[in-house]
Amino acid sequence: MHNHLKEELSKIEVPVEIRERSKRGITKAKSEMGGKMNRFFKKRLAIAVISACLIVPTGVFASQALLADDLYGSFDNLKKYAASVTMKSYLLFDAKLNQAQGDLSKEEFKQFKELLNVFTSAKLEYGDSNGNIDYSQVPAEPLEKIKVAMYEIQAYFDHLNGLPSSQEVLTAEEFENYIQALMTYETIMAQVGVSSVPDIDIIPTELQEKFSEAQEYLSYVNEKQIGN
Amino acid sequence: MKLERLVMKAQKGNDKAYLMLFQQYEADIYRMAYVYVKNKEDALDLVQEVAYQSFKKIRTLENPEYFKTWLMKITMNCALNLINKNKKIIPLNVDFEVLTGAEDKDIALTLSLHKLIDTLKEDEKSVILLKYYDDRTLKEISEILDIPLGTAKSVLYRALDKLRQNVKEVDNYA
Repeated sequence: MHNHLKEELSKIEVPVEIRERSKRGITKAKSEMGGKMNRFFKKRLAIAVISACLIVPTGVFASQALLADDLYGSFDNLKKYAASVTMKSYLLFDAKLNQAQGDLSKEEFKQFKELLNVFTSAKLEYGDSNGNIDYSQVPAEPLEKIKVAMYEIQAYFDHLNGLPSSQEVLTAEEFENYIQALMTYETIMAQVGVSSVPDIDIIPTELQEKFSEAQEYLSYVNEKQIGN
Repeated sequence: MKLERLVMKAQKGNDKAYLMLFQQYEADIYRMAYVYVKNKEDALDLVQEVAYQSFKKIRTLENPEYFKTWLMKITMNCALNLINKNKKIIPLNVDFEVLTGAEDKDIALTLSLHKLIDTLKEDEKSVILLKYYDDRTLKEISEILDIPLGTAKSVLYRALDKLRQNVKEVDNYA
């Protein structure tokens, strides 16, 4: 009986798709897993890809001299481009900038703002209605410029987040991958057309793997920074 | 890599480690699922569902030694849920269902296996699979399925009795 059952069951052919299905189930679970680390990571990510929180204040606030206005120009101008930005993220961003002003030296802050400017103009130029850029659609020259700014600005973000510099924690190759992962992440968000981190299910199958790979890499960097 | 190590990594949220681990059992899970749902598509859905649920719950597994049994239990629960769900949706005549299922072209099953699959009720399948596919004792089976030992015993004997008759029939055909 014993062997007979095993023998009989082994006659059930296992289809090749099974690999893919196992993977899909695990990827879905992974994408939904919460936890302290994950929430922290998401919060930080929102700031790291700062650009992403494009920021439309309402009229009331538009008249106030918020630091963020320096970067985005007039509110009316901005409103044309970005739809899904909340007051909260605007104020958070402004607070972050104020904090930056206090935390960084004058010279550093100036540089920081210049770098941010590269992002904000890129957002207005190439970003979708959520402020996400599909980098695969950006012409080579501005793309290079954005990339360079991205490399440089990470150190400031890390500093403001109270973390060791990612550039120092990572090897040169890893840092390159990190920037690449940030861009892939944003590109897929732009392609899917979402404003916040999407559920893996709504991402087209062919992009799912790329997306979770990027997500994983960002999480890896984050862990490394926290561990240091 | 050793099973314990992979389980520990997976419990820390490492999905690559869990995939490596899970893939060692995916064929077993598929075959078990097939015994319940009798078709390729549902069995594949179940594999995906078991992968999903098990990784989500992996932190609750206390002893890595029981990983396979733990997976089997999740597989059985998922299969029973699916069967119950389908029962509610399509109140088809059971015999008719079996008959159409048997005609699926992509399924290379022998007659005897079909008979095994089709003769037993769900609870009997669970006991038989745990006993002969996972080599569990009756006491362990009663714990895994959360049924009294006496019940496990009687379900097993009833199932074996049915199978013996069937195996005899199959032998006669041969």
